[in-house]
Amino acid sequence: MQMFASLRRAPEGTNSSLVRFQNVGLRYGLGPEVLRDVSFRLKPGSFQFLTGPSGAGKTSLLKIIYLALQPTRGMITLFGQDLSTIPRKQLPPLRRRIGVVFQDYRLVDDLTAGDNVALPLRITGAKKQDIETKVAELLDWVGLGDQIMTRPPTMSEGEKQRVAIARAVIAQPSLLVADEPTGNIDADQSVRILRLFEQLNKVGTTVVIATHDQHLLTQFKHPVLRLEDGALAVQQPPLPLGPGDGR
Amino acid sequence: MWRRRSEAPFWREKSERFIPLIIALMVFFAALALATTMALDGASRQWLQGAAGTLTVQIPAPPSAVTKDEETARIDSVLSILKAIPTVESARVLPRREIAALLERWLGEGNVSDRLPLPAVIDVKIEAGKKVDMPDVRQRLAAIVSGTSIDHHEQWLNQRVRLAQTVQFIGLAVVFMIGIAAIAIIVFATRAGLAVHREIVEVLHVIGARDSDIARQFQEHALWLGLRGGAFGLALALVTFFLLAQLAVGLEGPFWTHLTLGPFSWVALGLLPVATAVITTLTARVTVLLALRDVV
Repeated sequence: MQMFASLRRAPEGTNSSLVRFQNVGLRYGLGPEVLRDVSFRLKPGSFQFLTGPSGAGKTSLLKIIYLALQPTRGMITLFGQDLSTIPRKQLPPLRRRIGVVFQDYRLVDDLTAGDNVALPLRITGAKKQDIETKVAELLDWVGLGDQIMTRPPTMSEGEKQRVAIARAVIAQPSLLVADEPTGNIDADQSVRILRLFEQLNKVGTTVVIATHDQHLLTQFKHPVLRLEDGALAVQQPPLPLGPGDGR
Repeated sequence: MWRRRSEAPFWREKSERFIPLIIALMVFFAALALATTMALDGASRQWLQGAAGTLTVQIPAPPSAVTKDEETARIDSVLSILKAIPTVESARVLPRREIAALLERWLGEGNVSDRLPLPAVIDVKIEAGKKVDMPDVRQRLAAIVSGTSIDHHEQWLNQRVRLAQTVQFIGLAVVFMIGIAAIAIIVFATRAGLAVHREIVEVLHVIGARDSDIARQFQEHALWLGLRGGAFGLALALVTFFLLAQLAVGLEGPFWTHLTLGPFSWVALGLLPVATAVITTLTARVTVLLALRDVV
């Protein structure tokens, strides 16, 4: 499909970790730790579920991954870079390599679906013609090709989520993070959304999805990271360091 | 279909419709204060220039009837003393009709009859940068014609100039305070905007917008607010100046005729909306950048 021409990416390197957490802890203010000694690795091109009960720390973990929060302890390597040593000014370029799908979509109501999807490309200063082409392609891919001019308040929850996904992937991110992307939509739409994520994964995007939907976990058999009370209940087995780790 | 890159319609809050109006009022008052300051500055210079190096000598009317020759001799004796002073450039006796014209402003036209005894007035010009020994001249003139008085205009005007300068200082202080108030309003409005649109700002942040990208959204909006408000405020001020000028038509006297605005003053006033826009833009930018500094 032509869509894949837009989204296909160069492989990151199969032996290195795209994301590496090592004894990461997070505390809000003086309260108890919401994340405790979290350690895991995400290989490039992997597809990972993140699950756990409400309040387990899934959203906090994802926020750290997409650089909206800083951990209070531990080490994180992202795209081969130690986050503790990166100056704040260099974070935006890293963020542009991460696509985020929020549970509440976070679409701009005053903008059309097309303008919402175009936001990440506008920020990078892409040419207007390129933006128009890619936006049309992606909205077509998510099944909303005829709704470029529609505004979010008039859309269904499923449609909004698909616009949010299109926005998250238009800049061809290396890593796609989704926080409960099926939380507000029905089962059929949920399956459709997950299939979109799988298509993205097939072209090389690393995908992490936080969900507590057991049906999806059962239906889509991908590795699962389970958080309970801020700690990983099932830790990944330690893997040998790849050539890209700790660069 | 596509909006301009710089447009951020989600920053338009209904409460912001009052901000251009507030800015307009501030620019209006700033324009009034600035125009007053500049007009007084120009007038002060002209007063000093006109009065600098001039004296007025009044020879009182003779106590009893004298012949015209005797009157002329009295005046010539005073004139000769004045002209003999080395630093005096010129001394001119004002014709009676000029004196009468000066008095008619107070007494009314046609109320100064030819039989009204008027003092003789001599207009003396002193060489630029030079001075006259006033006590000595007073003494010498009084010895010839008792009651002769000398008015040193510079001394008289200095007091008025000091007053004008004080008013100018107050005017500039008012303009400065208006600027501070405008900054405070924009800071408040920008921080309110950031709070209201916190989620959208977070989305932009997450998708990789730099702080400067986010700040640009706010500063472009603030620029537009500042230009609109500034232009409207200036227009209001210009209408006020026109009305005041109409009211002042026919007023005579150096005080009124010297209260004008030169080309530079008009240019300065015309730049007020631009200055306002610069202030609002920079304030919004700095406010956003400082607020985002606390965000990861």
